[in-house]
Amino acid sequence: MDKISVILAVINILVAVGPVVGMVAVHVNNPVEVIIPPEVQELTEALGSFGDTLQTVELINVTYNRDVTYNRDTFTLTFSIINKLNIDLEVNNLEADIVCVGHDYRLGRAYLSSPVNVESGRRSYLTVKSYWTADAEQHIRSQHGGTVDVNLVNFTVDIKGMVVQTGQPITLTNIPVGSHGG
Amino acid sequence: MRAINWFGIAGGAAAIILIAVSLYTPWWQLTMGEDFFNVNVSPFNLNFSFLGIAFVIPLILALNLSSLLMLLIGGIIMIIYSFNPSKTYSKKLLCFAYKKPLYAVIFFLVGIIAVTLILNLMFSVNMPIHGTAQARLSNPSQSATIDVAMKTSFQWPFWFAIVTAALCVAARLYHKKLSAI
Repeated sequence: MDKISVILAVINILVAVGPVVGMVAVHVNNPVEVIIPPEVQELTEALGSFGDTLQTVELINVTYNRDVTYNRDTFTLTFSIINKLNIDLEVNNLEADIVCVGHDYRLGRAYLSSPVNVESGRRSYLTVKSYWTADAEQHIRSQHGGTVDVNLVNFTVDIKGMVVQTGQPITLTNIPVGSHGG
Repeated sequence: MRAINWFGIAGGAAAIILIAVSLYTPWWQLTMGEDFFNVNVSPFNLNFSFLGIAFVIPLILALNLSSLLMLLIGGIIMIIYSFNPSKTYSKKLLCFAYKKPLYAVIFFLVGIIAVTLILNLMFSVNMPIHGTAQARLSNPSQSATIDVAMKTSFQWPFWFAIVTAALCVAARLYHKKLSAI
């Protein structure tokens, strides 16, 4: 084998093996870190914190108003969320179908009015609005007489494109039709 | 007039440029949600980012460094060869150098296909190699489902790597023509 071939073969071996040997040498005290870096622990914590954040979504207030412009009942649901992560989160949407408890009749759909930036470690409030459709008002008046118990079903939260849907309904009781106040 | 392998010069220069751009732009990218989970892959740089936490695996970093040095040395040797293709040692330099970009592209593609297949089997999703898909994860204990949009795409440095590999193979073929003169 001539000199050039030997030099090229040595370069091949050094370049292929050298960095790996060097990296193992750097982590000689804790060889596992060569494959599982310490950041993986942070990752596990972040995943847990994201789950914890979703658990903090809570309905804290419901208000009702008569929208005289469109002659319909509107109501506003205020949810709170606490961001347990170290980064800000963008809540793109929070929505749910509203159905009456007695007949499972679909009365409307509630949406988040606009995306909300939830700062790291802070509590933020999400305002979700909805209104009764004409059919819904008719159903409530004829079947329930003025107030109705409703379930919020197909409850979904869209955080940074991750859409979480829960099958657990949220029940709201004695929601009036055609009245003011909250 | 001294013979020059122009394909070799172009291929060697392209290999060095490819390394420089690949440090900033990946060859392939996986995004879940809106930057919820990101993977940026090239033979010279592989990094993950999950909910803002970026991390690299030291072993993969070492392999990336190997690939980077291998292609860099290959590119330099290809250029040195190209200016002296008729020397007695030239063919050895060429044979050392021309395969490097080709191997980088082949190993990269095999790796991406293998990782995609493994992830699809592990998580029962249908993640494409290039395209978009919707993944659904269920949590029966909390009767909750999680839907997330996945997007995978080859970036322009990947196509540039194919061009680089093609130029280096062309340099090898052109060498036969130069030898015949």
